[in-house]
Amino acid sequence: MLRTRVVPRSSCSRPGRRAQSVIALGILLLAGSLCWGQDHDYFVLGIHPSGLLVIDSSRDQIIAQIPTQGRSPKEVVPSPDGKHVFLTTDGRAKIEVVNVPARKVEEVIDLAGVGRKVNIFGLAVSRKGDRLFAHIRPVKELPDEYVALPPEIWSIDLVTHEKKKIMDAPDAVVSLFVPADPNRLIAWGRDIYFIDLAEQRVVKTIPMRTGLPPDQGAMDTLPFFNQYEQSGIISMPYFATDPLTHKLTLGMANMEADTGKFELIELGPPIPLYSSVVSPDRKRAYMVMNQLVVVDLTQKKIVEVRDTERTKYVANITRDGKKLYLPSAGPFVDVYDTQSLKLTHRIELPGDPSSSQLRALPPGALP
Amino acid sequence: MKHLKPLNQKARKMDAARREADLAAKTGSKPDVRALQQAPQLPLGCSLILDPGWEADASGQVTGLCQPMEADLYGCYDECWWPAQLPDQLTSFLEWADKCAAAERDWRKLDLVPSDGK
Amino acid sequence: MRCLMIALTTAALAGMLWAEGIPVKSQLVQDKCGGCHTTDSQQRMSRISYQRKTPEGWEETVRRMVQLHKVGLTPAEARAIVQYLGDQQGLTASEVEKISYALEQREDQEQIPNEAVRTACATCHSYARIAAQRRTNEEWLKLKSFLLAIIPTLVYQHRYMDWMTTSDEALAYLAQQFPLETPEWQREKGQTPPRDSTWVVRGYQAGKGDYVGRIKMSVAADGSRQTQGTLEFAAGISTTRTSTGHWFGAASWRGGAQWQDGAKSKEIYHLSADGTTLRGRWLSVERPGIAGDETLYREDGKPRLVAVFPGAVPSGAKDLELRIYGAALPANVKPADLNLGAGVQVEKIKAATAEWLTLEASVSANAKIGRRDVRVGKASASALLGVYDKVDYIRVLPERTMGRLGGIRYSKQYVQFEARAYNRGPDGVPGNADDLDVGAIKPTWAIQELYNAYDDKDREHVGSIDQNGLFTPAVEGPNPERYRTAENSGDVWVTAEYTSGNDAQALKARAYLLVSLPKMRETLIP
Repeated sequence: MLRTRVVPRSSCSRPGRRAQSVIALGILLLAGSLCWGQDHDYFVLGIHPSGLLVIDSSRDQIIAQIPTQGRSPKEVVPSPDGKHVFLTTDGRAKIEVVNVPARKVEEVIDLAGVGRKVNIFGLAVSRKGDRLFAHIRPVKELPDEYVALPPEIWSIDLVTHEKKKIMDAPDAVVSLFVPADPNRLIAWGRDIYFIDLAEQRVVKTIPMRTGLPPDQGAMDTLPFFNQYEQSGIISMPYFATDPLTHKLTLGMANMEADTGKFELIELGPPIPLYSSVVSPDRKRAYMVMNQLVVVDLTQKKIVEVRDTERTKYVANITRDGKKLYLPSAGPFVDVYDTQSLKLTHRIELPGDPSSSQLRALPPGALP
Repeated sequence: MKHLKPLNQKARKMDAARREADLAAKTGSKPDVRALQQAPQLPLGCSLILDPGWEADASGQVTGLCQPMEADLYGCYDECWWPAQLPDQLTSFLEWADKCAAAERDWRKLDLVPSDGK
Repeated sequence: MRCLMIALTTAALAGMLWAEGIPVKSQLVQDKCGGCHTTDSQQRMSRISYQRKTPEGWEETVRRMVQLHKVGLTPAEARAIVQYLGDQQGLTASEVEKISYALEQREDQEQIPNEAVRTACATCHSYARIAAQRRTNEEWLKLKSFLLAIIPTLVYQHRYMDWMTTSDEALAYLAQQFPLETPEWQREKGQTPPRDSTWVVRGYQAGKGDYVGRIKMSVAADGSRQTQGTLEFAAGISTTRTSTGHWFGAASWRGGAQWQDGAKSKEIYHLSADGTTLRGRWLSVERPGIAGDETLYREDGKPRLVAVFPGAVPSGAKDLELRIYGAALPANVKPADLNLGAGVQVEKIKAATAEWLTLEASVSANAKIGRRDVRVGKASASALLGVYDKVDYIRVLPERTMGRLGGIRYSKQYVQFEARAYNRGPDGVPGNADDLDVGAIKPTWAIQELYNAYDDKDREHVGSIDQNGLFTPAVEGPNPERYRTAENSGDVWVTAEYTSGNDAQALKARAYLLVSLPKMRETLIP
């Protein structure tokens, strides 16, 4: 869903006529530059050994390197207003709250507690920005033994700082998504689970691996790489062996983040691919690993396959749909033009990306 | 249970439910692991998690692996993806890459783990 | 439900109190490990007393205690703890025999007897790693939590299956197959390792050939062992080797050796249950991948035949020199005392000692193709000598193998190829079970491109082979000259071309070689 641009109001007193024109011109230019400012994106990316980068897409430059307390951010979740980014660090063990304008970590949230260690796979923030949801794999640490505990889904109130377990988690959850309905949480794991937060249980399951009809093979997705904020469509490649032809097939699993509306698109013979990002106008999708594969979503077929210079995990896209950002595979982010599919720029990074998520901040996040 | 149907409907074939359940549970991996029924023949100690693989991919070659390996080393190290081939950052070797921000550049600083010198 | 829980808990407790668990009698282990591992009134320590492992298994455990749980141990203390546990809580001769191939770093393909184990376990590591352990039922079940704790992404890597359920099945099988108390343990745990002893050696090193010799083992003051050996290759080259090492339990030998030319090797040998035969492998330290296989027979004063050089002779040959190696060979031996099978006539004895017999023989043109027994006086050995009429084909061995890049930060994994000549055997059909291995040959070696990608250029990057068949892998790290700055990894054919005698037709063979990445984590058991 396209977000409307926010144009700040200017305010001034009323000076003399020529001064008025100058000021008017100045205001026009200022408004124009701020509008320009709102036309481009800021992307955030975790790096090794630690830290969060902020990249300005208008200049294709790093404009901030925010130190984190822990190593190698993995989950990177911008708040709805973009002023905060929630990270998991130190081996997905803790949550750090980064204040983006202040360029620093303002809080560290520990979900482990005494005698436990946790690894967090799946972090999401509510649409109002007042709650965090985390999927954790806890382990009890005894002096001479580990006891693996069932995974859990937790809620953290960002205002009161209250942390509480909502429920035991369904199977093999990797990512969490928050739809528009404030009473729902979507967990993508072995299957896709829709959780009712009031009832604290799974109320609907989209089968991906279990409970499938006889003519649908189990679909393998690797939901670590989630770049969906620019289009509002969560998109992932899937691989399934068709039970009738016994052929391995590549497809795309797309879910509308607001509503949970789900679609499977079969694409053809398998091309190893890690992730997919949908363009803001929802007409195209870009899938990557050793190739950059372009899918026309209107025709529902692959229209381009190009080799990438090296292996890529993820791609994100600017709001105007013109540029792709492909991090990982070395200490740089590659910028591609979406029309020519050519590499136009390489942004050097101080370290390798640590997160498999290069996320766009919403407009208005940064002045 | 409710689910959304695939876009292109196929004619339904009534097979034994158990066969389909087995197939559904075992197939559909990336690339085509099929519960290791077709795993390539690799020496002992090589990873048979072919996702894409460490020593070899599902076809037994190196063409499907990440290239170069160093470019994606941390994606593997961070997520403990090759427990018998690499150290991991989730539990056991959090400091391993502290001095090595960019693997492709700094890989020479990475230790063999555990280090010799017992 | 509550009654069931009580019953199960009582049963579990009873099980714990009753038979199982090996008391830990080492003060060092109690001191260093007792901080976390509780000790009961019978000196059984939690977790420790309920497992048995190979020396490698215990070493990995102790390393993890130091690395992950920050136990403070000096290297000497760590070695002493591994020695104690490997001694007192190891595998017996009969138990270790089944998995010694993995400890010897062989490339064997495993037959995994249980499907749940194969899919849930033998994905990251070998089956042998598991079969090299013995645990109580409870300890097997605890493995699941341990793995989930150490490898939180385990279920994601295994997302194509239901790992949580399949692992339960696998563990139930393993608990039944490999309990702490086994009949072998009952029978063999009281055995003691060899002390001062002499061993007759039959060995083979790819690239250098067959060898024989003698090794003396003696007990040192600290209980360790020292060995001194004299070895002679079939080609006539002699060398010496000394080593120091330890026995773990009665059956597992681990040593570090130095050869006459300064080369160093690790020794991994295992003793048979009856204590007469030691089998194993030495692994080059400087050149991983270079190794030698040895069988050592304990000298007991009885006559024994160990090898004939050459191991196979051509029919129609005249005035052939043969050398027989053994132990306690009879004195004053005459041609009539020898039997090398029909068609092989011993003409004269050229030299004779208690260990070596050098003789001249001729082979009739119609001598039967195949292996035959050899007898010298009262000593005999089956299938010790082969007769062939011609070389029908050659093979490159190993036929399918892997090397690893290295040399800058990580060790190269070399591959020593050899080419062997074969005769079609008595049935006249090549390529089946009765074919005769005639021996190693020296072909012309080369690396050939194996095209499995457009413009495949692996051959230019993976490494090189010398004319002794030694493949040296290239260095590790990204190579800017390659597409995508990829590594020097790839797969190629290794080819051998050989012309035997006056044959105009060259014989050819090839092997598959995959050259892959280094391991950046050392595991002592694959």
